[in-house]
Amino acid sequence: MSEEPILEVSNLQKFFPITSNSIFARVKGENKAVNGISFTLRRGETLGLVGESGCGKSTAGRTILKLYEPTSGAIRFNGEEITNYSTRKMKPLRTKMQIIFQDPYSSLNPRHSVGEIIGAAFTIHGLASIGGDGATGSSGRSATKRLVQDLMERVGLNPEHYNRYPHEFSGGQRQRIGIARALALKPEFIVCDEPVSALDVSIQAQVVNLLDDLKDDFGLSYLFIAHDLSVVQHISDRVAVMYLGKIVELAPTEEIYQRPHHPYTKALLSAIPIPDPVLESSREQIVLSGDLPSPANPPTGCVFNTRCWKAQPRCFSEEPVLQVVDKSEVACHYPE
Amino acid sequence: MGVALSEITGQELPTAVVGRSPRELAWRRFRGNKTGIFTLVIAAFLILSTTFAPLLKSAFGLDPRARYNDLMNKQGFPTGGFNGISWAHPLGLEPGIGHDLLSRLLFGARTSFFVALVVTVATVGIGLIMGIIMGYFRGAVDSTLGRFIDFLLAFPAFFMIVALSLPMVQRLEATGLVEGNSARMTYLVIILIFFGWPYLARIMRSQVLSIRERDYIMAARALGASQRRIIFKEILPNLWTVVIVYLSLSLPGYLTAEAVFSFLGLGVQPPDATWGLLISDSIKYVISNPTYFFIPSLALILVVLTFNLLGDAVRDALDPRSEVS
Repeated sequence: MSEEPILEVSNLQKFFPITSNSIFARVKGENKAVNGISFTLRRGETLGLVGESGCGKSTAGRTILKLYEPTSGAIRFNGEEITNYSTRKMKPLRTKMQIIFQDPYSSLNPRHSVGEIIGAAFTIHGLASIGGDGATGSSGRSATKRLVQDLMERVGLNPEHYNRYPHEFSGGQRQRIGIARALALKPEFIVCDEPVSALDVSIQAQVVNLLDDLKDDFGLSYLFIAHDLSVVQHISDRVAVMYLGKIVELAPTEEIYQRPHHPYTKALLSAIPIPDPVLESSREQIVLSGDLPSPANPPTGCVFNTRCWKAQPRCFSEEPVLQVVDKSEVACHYPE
Repeated sequence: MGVALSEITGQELPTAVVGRSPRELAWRRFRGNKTGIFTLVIAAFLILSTTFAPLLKSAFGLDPRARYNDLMNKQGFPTGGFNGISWAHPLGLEPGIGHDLLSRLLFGARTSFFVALVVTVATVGIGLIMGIIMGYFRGAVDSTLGRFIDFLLAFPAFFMIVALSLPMVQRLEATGLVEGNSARMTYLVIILIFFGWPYLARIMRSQVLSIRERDYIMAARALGASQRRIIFKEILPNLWTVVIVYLSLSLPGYLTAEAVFSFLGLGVQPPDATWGLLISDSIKYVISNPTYFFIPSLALILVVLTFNLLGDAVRDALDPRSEVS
């Protein structure tokens, strides 16, 4: 892992307009899905991004890839500022940054065969004759086919299933198809948007291990979005905890799991079950009261103040910024 | 080639595995469907026989204008019972005027099929394009087109078609391009298209709205796919099943619509024939000569049923999720 950053995100915001559903749509408010996040991803690193449902982690991943237009902030990829790039200008960069989706059912077009799905990358970028021998036409197609089948084999699929359709595969196999599609163009950076949360636990391990292997083979950097903390612990070098569109704690994996500094991180970690009935029964669990506030109308001051058991008057007036505590960065006025 | 390459690189290259192409699979599924094959044969027969009706006319002497008064009795009914069915006139004769019924049906089908086909293709084409535009681009385009569609659907279309018939046909004739029966046919085609496209557009819009939010569209964008590729390669293939079902309902629907408007006297007028005219004429003889009443009506039912079943079979064949036998 080098110190050279592959991705720098600073103060990124993504607001979705809330419109009234009448003939003349009016903007009534803004859903502040991602509300100013900053982090760096080093080359070859895996950064885990965790948080509960609706905290904006998926939106963050998609905005970084410019699948959503960022509202403000800056995204630098390999030192290149891509925040305001047009679709056309993004196209060459698409070969370097890819995404793996959560739902293996809606992420594959049911009308396309596996070969078409994985081979789409070559077609879109006009690389149908990437075979190396400058082949065009039908031999170019067979070169693409060979490449696709190579990829299928690499991710643990039977290359003979080239002409099969997504519905003929299981959830785990479908997720492997999605991984092969993301790998086709030999990217440097992949956003893994909850790649295992829709899978059975036994399949989860296989897919996580596959992602781990591929990382070394292809020299990838991952932004690994998940809500399963044990999966994140296994795969990540560093972990960022998100709450209501903001990063509340960012620390090396070991540090965050051993010494959480933010009360929210503490509450999250206390929810991990221990696979030992004796220890499990004595596990101290912090149960947060209340619901996640609406991202359209976040609380003033610290976003966590509505559910924090340690909240002081200062937490309601002054917004905490990320500051270094030990080896971690924490956005809390009273870190543990 | 694979062997040579692996010798050079010293690497084991996976040899390309030959499998069945999607088209081949669809054809296999279709072939396994008995109803599909059966209706395809009937549909092919109907289309060929109406297309080549003029050839049949010269080959078998099937003349829709010829009158066989020698085969009619004094009351104007064909002699010999059952509408005068014989080898020379397999479906008998028209009472009163004495035309050969088979040739009337064949030549009438040319008009009826032509109207139904043109209207169906045009409404499906316009509806599909409009629906995709509305569903994909949303926003102002969607609300403007949406209100126009509401306006068209709220219109009492049937009464408008009847009421506008005379002035519009006169205007069409005044252009000097069409006259008489062709003017009436043109009017019917135009007005049916005008009122017909919003239905499919509505269905397509809602389909596209749902499909464009799926992750595979996002994946295509992440790969750098153009808007054109997303619309034509990612969205369109998911619309075909609905379009085919709509087509198979729409074609017989417009066939019936043409019959209804001819029946009401708005379509083609004698001496040209259409199925609507034949049915309308045969109703007079429902008691006195029921064979004549049943023949054109059964022909219409047969065609409607054939296209419905054929549409179902094609849809099943194109669905990769259905079983290959």
